[in-house]
Amino acid sequence: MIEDDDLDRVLSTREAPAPSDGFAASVMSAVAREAEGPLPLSFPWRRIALGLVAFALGIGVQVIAGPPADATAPAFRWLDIGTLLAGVDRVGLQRAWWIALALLVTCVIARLASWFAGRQLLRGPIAGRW
Amino acid sequence: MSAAEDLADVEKVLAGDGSAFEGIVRRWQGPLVHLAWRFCGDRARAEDMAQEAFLRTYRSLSTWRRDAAFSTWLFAVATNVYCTEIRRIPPRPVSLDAVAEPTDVRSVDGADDEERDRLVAQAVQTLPARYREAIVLYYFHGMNVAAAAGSLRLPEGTVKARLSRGRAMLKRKLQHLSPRRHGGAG
Repeated sequence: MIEDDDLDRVLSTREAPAPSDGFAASVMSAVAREAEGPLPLSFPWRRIALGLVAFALGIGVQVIAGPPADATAPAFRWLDIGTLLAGVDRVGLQRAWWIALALLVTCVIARLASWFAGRQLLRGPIAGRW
Repeated sequence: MSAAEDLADVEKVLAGDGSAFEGIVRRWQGPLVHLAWRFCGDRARAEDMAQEAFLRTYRSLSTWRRDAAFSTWLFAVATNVYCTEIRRIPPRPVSLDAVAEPTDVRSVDGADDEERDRLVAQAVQTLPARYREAIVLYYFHGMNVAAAAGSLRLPEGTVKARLSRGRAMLKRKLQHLSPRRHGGAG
């Protein structure tokens, strides 16, 4: 059976090939391409934030106002301020809290996913001059 | 290898002089290709893997915290790239059984040292990834457990345990090999 010393000798004295002559130049070409390439697309937080706020407001208004009392009434009536104030009840607030919590959790998950992806992939090339 | 030269080049790159990265590449191309070759056993692939390691290093240069030596950080980045790559595409489809139980024992017993070395290297490639990585880095770093642990970003105790288990598996796979015939020099 092969001994520990034999293993040590074989594995520690393996002769590795030297890099080929053009290796450093090839790496620097790749690095230059990396530096000159387009910046990685970042997540469009600003644009999506507007949409999220509008969406949250719309959901909030509907929850607080509740459905129209009279199904035959014109749709715009349940959005007027009087109806809104009258519709603020305990159940409505409870719904609003759940929706707000869901939105918050969604934002946190999206942010974490973006953060992990950023750690694993590109952190953005270092701008350099060549 | 000069730590001061590494630091100076890193500062230049971070200041916007990307061409200063060439100094880092020229100083470390040998060790990085060597380490990649120990993982894959193929020169062309080793150079591809080393190039990817240098690219990853370049991208994340700003994340190097100066509390560790640049070389330690560089090997950790390269090790991460190599382990990922080797797990994605293993070096070659060697059958575990083919290495563990040779069909013709006499041919192995009579194998010369070169053949023995090849069989040992081949057996390393058949180890499960966690043991293979520990063994490759341990011997690459001159049998230094601390350095291997630094490259793998693992506690030394974990690396020692994996080394012990990996060596035991290797010996089991290579049980048909007779001890090396030492020459006069020992």
